[in-house]
Amino acid sequence: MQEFLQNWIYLIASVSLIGVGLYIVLTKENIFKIIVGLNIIESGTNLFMVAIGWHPNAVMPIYTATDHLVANGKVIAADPLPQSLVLTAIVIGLGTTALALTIGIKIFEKYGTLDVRKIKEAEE
Amino acid sequence: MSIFNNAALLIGVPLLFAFSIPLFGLISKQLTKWVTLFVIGFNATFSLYILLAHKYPAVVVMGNWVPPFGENLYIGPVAAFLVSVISIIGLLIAIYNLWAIKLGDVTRFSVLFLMFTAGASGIVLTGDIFNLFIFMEITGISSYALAAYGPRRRALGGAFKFLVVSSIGSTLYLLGVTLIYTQLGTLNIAEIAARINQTTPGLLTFAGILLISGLAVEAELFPFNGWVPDTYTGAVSGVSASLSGIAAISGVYALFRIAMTVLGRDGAYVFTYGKLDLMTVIAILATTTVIIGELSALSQKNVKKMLAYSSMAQMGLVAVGFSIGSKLGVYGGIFQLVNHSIAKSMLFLIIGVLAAAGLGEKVENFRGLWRRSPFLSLAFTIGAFSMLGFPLFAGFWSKFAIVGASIQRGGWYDFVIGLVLFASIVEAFYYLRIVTYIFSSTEVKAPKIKVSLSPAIPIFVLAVAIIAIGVYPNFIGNFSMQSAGEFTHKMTGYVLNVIPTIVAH
Amino acid sequence: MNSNLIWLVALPLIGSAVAAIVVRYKFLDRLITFLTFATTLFVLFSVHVGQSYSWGLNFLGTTLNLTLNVSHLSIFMLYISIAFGTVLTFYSLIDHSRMKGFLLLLILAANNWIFMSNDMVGFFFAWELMGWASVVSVLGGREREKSRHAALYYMIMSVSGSYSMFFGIFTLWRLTGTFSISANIAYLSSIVGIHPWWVLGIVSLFFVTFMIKAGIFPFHTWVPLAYAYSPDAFTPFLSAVMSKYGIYGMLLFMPLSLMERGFPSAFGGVPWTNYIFVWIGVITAVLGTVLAIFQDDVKKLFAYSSLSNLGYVVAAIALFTPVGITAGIFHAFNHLLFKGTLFITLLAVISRSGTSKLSEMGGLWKKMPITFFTFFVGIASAAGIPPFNGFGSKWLIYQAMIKQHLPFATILLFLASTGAFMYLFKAFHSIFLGQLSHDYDRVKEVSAVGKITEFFLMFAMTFFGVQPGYILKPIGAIVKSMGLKPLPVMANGYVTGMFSNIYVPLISWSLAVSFTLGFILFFVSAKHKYVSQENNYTAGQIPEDWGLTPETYQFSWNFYQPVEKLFAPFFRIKIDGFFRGTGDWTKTIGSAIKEIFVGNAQMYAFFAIVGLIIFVIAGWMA
Repeated sequence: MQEFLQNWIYLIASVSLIGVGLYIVLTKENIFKIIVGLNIIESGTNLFMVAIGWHPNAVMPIYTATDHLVANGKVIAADPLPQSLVLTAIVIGLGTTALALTIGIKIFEKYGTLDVRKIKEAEE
Repeated sequence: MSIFNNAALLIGVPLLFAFSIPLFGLISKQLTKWVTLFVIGFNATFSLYILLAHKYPAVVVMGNWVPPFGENLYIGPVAAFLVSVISIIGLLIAIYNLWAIKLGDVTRFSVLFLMFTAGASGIVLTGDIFNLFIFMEITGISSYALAAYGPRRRALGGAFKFLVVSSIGSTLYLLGVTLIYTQLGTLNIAEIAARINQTTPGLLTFAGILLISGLAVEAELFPFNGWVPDTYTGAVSGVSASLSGIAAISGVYALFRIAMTVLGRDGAYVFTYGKLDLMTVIAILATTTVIIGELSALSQKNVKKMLAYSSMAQMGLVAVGFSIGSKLGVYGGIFQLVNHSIAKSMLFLIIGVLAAAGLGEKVENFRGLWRRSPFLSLAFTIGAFSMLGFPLFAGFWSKFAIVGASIQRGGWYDFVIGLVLFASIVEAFYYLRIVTYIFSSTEVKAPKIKVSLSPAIPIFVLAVAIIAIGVYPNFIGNFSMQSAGEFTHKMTGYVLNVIPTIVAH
Repeated sequence: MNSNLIWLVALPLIGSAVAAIVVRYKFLDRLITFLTFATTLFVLFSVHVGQSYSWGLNFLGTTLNLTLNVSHLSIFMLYISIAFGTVLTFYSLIDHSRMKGFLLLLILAANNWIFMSNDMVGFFFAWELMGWASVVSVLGGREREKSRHAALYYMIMSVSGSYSMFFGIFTLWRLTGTFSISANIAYLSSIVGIHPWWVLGIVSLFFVTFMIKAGIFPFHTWVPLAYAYSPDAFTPFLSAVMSKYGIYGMLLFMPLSLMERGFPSAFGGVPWTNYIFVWIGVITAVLGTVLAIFQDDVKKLFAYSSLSNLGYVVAAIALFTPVGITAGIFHAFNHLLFKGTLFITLLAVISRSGTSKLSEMGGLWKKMPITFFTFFVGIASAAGIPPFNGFGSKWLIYQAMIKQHLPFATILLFLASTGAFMYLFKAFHSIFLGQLSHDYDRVKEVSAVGKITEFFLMFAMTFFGVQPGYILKPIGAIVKSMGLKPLPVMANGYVTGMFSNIYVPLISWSLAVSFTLGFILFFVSAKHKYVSQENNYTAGQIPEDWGLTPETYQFSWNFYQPVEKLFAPFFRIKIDGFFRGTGDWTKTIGSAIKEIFVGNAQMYAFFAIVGLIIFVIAGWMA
């Protein structure tokens, strides 16, 4: 059980986060809740990326720090690349969220509501 | 592999100036628009130089990290050709913006527009699937913001829809990238392409579906294209023009770079590795898009929205061409992509000029336009005829090639192209309806519409380009043909140019 | 190299570009159009059968050879179309309708290309070019809104036809790997014995296009609208020349002779595919005639008349016998000449009177005598009265029919011919005879240019009526090039090798002499008494008591009411309804589908997710 958890907990968590986020995006009417939902999806994706670069028995990928990088002919260092990717993804997520919030505020100013169902334009 | 590091300027210069534009803005707001113009002008000149002086295929290597270890840009025929098209259309729209963008925050509009162009060029140039994601997001974020620009509140609604759908799309794409990375441990397109057969078929199929679904948002394929009508209608016309003229190019490019180069399997027709042939999936999506787009446009009374639906349908047609997977089909697809960009951005610019003159967006408002502005009427007619694929206009040759390629492939593509041709009849009806309105007369004497120089230049240039391509298709056709080779022969056309030593598995 | 061929296409294109620049100055536009037509005709004199020219187009990944090839058929069609176009554009110098010369020149370029092209790429290019140029030309009619609708309707039919041909072209290309028309037709005839249904399917794709363009039943519905509401100066070209493109296409594909090898014979030794086609032609002829009788708009009347005449042509060429082909092409030529003339005279009348309603005209012969005589010669030709040109071809058509033992078809064609007398007389009477309305007191004859044109056309109709040999000779060459035995024709018009031999000049002269005698007797013997216009047929009654208004007072009001009653039940069948129904149905589906895109952000996200889930499931299943 512990092994299973160690191996799979992050992946399960990330998939559940994506699911929760999607649920929020698809069901909530408030714009800000939708934005939060998008953020949760993003966190799930980021967690997923970090999780795939990680292994319960892995060591840090710095050559001089340890002499156990290779055991039984297999590299057991954690993969550092996904972490750098996640940094980029987080920054992008920040930008998207900031912009989304701005648009949300503007929508509230112009339409007077945050309910996505009410901001539908009359058919022209 | 020849190295041509200067080509990184195509992305670097616009980004540098994008972030320094606020400084220019301190001097004068008008100046920022001119800076945008000159920077994109630089891009256009430089990319045309690369294209015409035949500097490709070449690889841009950063910090001596040769591919597949470092991040690289790859300038093949496709990149050289599409970057030129993107920059030239960007340049023309920048000229239009000199006149059109007066109200609101001009400085930030210029920042966003430069970022948008840089991002779109980046998508086409990059040789790395994660960088593709980054450039997609740069293009995406700037285009949400651009779409929200303007005095009208429906711009905000459109931009928000775009944002939500597109965010979900990019998340799907990122998940797909991650899955591929777990299998192969690399992000370089060339290396993935060479080693794609080493992946687990089931996981590859899943990753492929995620990637295709994510990219279909920007490529406007149904059912991922819900944002299109509202965003195009809401945005100011210059932005709609750039969305359909620039973002569409990079979106379709990204979709088929992944589907054909990364996941594809060479042959008479390109199929994809994995359990499911994703090219078939795309073909089904594309056909549905064409039919749904054209039929929705049919009963549309708002011209701008109609153009948006038509844009959707045209992207479907482009995707049908690509999805055939033969050289001829891809040729038709690229050619149609370029023709569509030219014609559709021109149509949107015309709508912008008309809107500024106080003409509504309803079809009925176009009645008797010929008396009010022969120039705009003729340009609109030229654009519409090019959309319909009438001879002497650019669209004829590309549509001809797509239909030819479909029937050449035969089988169920006969059925696909039958549906597409039926949809084209519908398209003929609604475009012709506008054209007939333009040339019919009004009882009321309306004043002439004066078109100032700055919007007139791009419209004129684009209209002339349509006729020039229509009369002499070889010029664009040759580039499209070279580009098609890059898509259909992934090893010789792409992978070996980036990593000469790699062996396909 | 035979570069004169390329000039036949390039010259009109250049002329068109020049004319488009000066389009704001109507006279300059028309003048350039006329000069280009004349120059093209001049270039045509240097062209002769057997010449060919080809140039490579770097397209579709290979070098496509676009070939121009002059066959007997093409040179015949080129001469008659360009010559007529020259006459028409000469007349149009004095015309004021909204025809655009540069569009006519575009059509001329397409016209020359269509007739010479020996590759399907060029053929399709030219065909589409002709299609859109003619649609835009239709736009400028007198009644704007109606002409707008007519153009749209025409467009949809034309585009549907083009796409059908598009499909056919590439299907052939897939099978043979070449775009050459002659090679593909050779291929089709080589496999027709093995796969008759395949060949029939492919050829049908082409024939739908040709039938639409020629306005053959059941695709005739656009014809009356487009003819009636196009600019008056464009209608002659539309009717005389453009309807022949469809005939030309059919003739190209006719040498297949599907019959002997592929399909069993129906009655009269005609293979049943052709037999059906003969009947389509006959139905078109009858339908056009019946509908023409009841029209009040004179352009619509002659549009239906065109329809009927093309029915004759199709019925004749579908027989694919030497007599049939000869008769069909000859009638196509005659139709070009007399229908072109009739529409030109109508152009003159309408430009002077300002209306195309028969019930509003009348008595114009005193005001426009030369136009009147031209019109008279035209309808005499159309009715097939010797010594004018329509007689010979109609006679040959009946001969061809009888020779193949098709009695019912022949009888129906006879009936259609009788009906033709009825509508032609109606038009003749309503426009030129009867009372002259006071509105037209100041109407004048057309100016000198118009008179010259009309004299020339009168001369041409009489000349080719008396000496049909000048036309039958080249037609004989065409028939020979199709692999059939041409009719022995002498230059003076003595035609043999049929059911009964005819000698047209003899018939013509004897009729001319007897008519002249008749006229002389009429004028010598009759006692004329002129009465005032207002008191001629109310017979002492007060018109208002009978519910008569000045409008119904007109002679041509309800001209053929009894006949109309006779046919009334048949008018309920509307072919048009099918096309309109399809259109409405598409529209309904369109507005239903549009509802997909009126959701909010969540809705679109939902679509995307559902799409994704469907794909994942599909991937799972695969």
